[in-house]
Amino acid sequence: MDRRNFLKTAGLASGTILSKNIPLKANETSKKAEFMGVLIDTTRCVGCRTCEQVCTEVNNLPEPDLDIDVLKIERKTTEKQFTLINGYETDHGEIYVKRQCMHCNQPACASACLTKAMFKTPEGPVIWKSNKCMGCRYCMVSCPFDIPKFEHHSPNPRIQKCTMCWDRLQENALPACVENCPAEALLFGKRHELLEIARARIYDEPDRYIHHIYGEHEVGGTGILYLASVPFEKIGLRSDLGNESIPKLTTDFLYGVPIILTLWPAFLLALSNSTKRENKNSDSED
Amino acid sequence: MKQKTVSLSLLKSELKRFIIFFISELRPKGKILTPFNIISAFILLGAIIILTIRFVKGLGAVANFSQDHPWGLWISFNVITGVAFAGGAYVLTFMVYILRVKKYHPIIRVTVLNGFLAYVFYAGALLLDLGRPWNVINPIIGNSFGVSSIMFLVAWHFMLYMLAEFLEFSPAVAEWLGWRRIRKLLVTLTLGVVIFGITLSTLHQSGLGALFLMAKSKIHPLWYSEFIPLLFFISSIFAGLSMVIFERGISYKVFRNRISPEHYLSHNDILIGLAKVCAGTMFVYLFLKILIFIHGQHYALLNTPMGYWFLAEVIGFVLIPGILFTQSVKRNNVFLIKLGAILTMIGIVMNRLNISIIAFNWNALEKYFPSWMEIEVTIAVIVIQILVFRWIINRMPILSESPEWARDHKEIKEKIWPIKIEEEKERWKVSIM
Amino acid sequence: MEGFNYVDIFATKGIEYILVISFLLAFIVYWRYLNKPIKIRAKVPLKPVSTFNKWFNLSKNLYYHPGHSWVMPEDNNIVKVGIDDFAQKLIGKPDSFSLPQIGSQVEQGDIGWKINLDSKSVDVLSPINGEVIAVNDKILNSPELIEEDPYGNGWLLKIKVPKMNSNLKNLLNGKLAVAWMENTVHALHERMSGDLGILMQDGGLPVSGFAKELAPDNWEEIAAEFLLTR
Repeated sequence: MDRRNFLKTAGLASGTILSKNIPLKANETSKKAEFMGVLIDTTRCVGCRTCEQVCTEVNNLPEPDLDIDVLKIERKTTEKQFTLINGYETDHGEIYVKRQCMHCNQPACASACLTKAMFKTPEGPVIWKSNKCMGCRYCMVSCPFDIPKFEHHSPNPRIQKCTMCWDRLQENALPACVENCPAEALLFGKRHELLEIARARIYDEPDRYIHHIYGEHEVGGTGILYLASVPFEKIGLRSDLGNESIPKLTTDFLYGVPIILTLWPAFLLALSNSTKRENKNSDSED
Repeated sequence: MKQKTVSLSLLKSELKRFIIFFISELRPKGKILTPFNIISAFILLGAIIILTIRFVKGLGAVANFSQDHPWGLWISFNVITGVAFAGGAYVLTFMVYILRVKKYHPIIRVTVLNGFLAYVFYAGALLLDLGRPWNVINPIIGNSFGVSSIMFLVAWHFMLYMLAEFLEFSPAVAEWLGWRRIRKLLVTLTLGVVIFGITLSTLHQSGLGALFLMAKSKIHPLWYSEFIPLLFFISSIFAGLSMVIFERGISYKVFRNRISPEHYLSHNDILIGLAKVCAGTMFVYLFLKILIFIHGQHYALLNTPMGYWFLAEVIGFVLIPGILFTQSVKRNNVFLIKLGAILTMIGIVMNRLNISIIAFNWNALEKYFPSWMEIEVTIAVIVIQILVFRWIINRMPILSESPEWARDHKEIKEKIWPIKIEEEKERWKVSIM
Repeated sequence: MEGFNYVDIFATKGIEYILVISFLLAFIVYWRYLNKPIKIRAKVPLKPVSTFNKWFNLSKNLYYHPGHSWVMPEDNNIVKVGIDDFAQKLIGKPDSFSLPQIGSQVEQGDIGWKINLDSKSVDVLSPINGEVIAVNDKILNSPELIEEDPYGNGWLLKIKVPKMNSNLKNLLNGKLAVAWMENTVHALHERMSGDLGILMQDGGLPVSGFAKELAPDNWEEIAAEFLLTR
């Protein structure tokens, strides 16, 4: 699209989305697949950790420990904390990064789940439904970000992770973290619109940002997008994951299965026939 | 009408006879208080206690696997390694029923039995490891079929393969119970079931490797490649055969009184034949490892601690046993075969544990080491498998000859001349023929 | 703006082709190496013998009598006779052989000669009808030769056989001989099931003189039973 159209769209989109008071419907009237996402601008995050607190409130989890100095320790999400802030000392100052499930376009966990307990909703968020899960933990093995967490200390364990507040989205509310971020570092919306906003931000302030949107292509594209002022591997976001979606790594094998199921029996039968000796009357006795 | 009542009463009387027979067979033969039995009893008791805790308080109370290492000893050792060792069944059924190499016929039943028991007990171990074992029926009944998942494929293949192994093994059960007609029926199924079993085995042995394909960013590059399924499949061939060699060595001494004469005569021949197959397969496997390594271009990684560990696994426990097997075949030396088998088995354990635990998230802060309770339950699963194996061997015609009515006398003649006797140079003139 | 990273996705293709070709060549070499036996076991006689079992050797093209003696036809209606590997292992190293004189007649199925050990002796049936024309001096002087080479240098008698064909018809040859040996082994096993441990050395071959192992006091009766001279 040419520059005039781009600016028009960008302006329009920014205008609508930036006004937080207008709740976005999770289900758009458009028929095409439209994933929702969250844009995290780490240059705006001040590390207040409000997102951590409201997340635990909304999900009935114990309160996060606010005494921890996030700059000194790099944490991972747990079964009791779906999102957290990690702080990093860089040459651009202190940078705070919100970590949570990435809600990938092609989620490894969902393709790994053999009961479809983990699945990607049509709206975008990847969620886990408890009635089907058998606790095999294959989703944990497959996730490149190590996000799904298992309740080891429960006799009826669940898999816990960020759900992008899917239940709230059904009621036309925003995800709790996005709604309560005082620094406007989090933006919820349709993924492709978020990408355009992100590009606009980079275009407008090229020195403020690294010219890359993390999550645009990584592992085939994720619902959570990041902007940063330093290379992403410096703030804990792996840059060696490649642009191919994780489930794609298994398609070669899975599509080979019917081929083997066809060829092997035919080949084995032929072989067994050819080793039959002429003077034998029966061929299948042991 | 009369026919129906006759057959019904026949069925009832047969059922009664079966139940009485079965209960009487449950009584132990031989001494009860042997050292092995006593130790086994303690181990099993301990496992029951641990498992009660596991179900009441959750997996974390007994096991050490963590968010960084979701799969621990039970899956990595009992399931993934155990299945590799059960690979002897499909290789041997291929050789005996498809290629018709009659040499291995004496051991085919015991190998199929071992394969069947291995899968049954390792599926059991898997159930213990699941967070919610009662939901395991979900992918079976369709709630829901996660067809995109390799785990789904592996789970279904396990079930179907257990069925196939049971059917292959069932003629022995029929002989034990004296069910002649049923035995005949089961024997006609053999070829089909064998083909089914070999196909399924190919898929799930490689499938177990394919489970790790998605963890590309989390497994050390020296162990990860897109060829993991192929390597798992090929290594399952010599893993299974090494287990057969190991188990034959033990059974030959322990169950000596049950072994048929045909088996006695050919025991060494069998071992040497198996060693040959292992040697050839390991040669191919090593080459594939080299090829994949060069393809991955991770030369620099060899000079790291993980690199040394990789070299130890490949050189120490694949190359060296391969050489041992080769030499044992040439020198007709059974001791080298047994040594090679043990080294190979250690190598397979290393390889499977590497991919699923050690090289998995290898730079995570928390290293995983199994708790003593996990080890206890692992050993208990193996012990109970041995106990069931012993019970079956001592009662059913597995190592011993089939009962007279089941033996095909035409076959016996066949067994005598497995190959055409080669023509030799005449050393003397025969005057009249 | 940085440039993009160019990745040569076919970097190793050439090396891999070379690797595969060298593998195929190496595999041929390896396979031949694997299948060539390194040395012939000293225990197995160097004569080409075809056996299906390693317990007792049978020499092909010989004719066997169920009493465990053999006949090797030569020219001019003359045959060599001896005892087979089973009989030899059954008794073990003998003290001496009592062989018929040159010129004496032997009858098929009748006692042909004796084997002596520890002041006991065991009869052996003659496999053939005819006149003894030669006796093996070597075996008379060194009876232990029977252990090394029962089918060759351990021959016992040379006999002139007038009715070669009809005699040979009563004897076992080829596949029948093999089947007969199989049944003998089976019978041995059935009888001894329990004692087999005593019989087996490492490697699974029966010890020499196993009749003595089975029945130390009256081994000659066991032996006679097998040799059909009881």
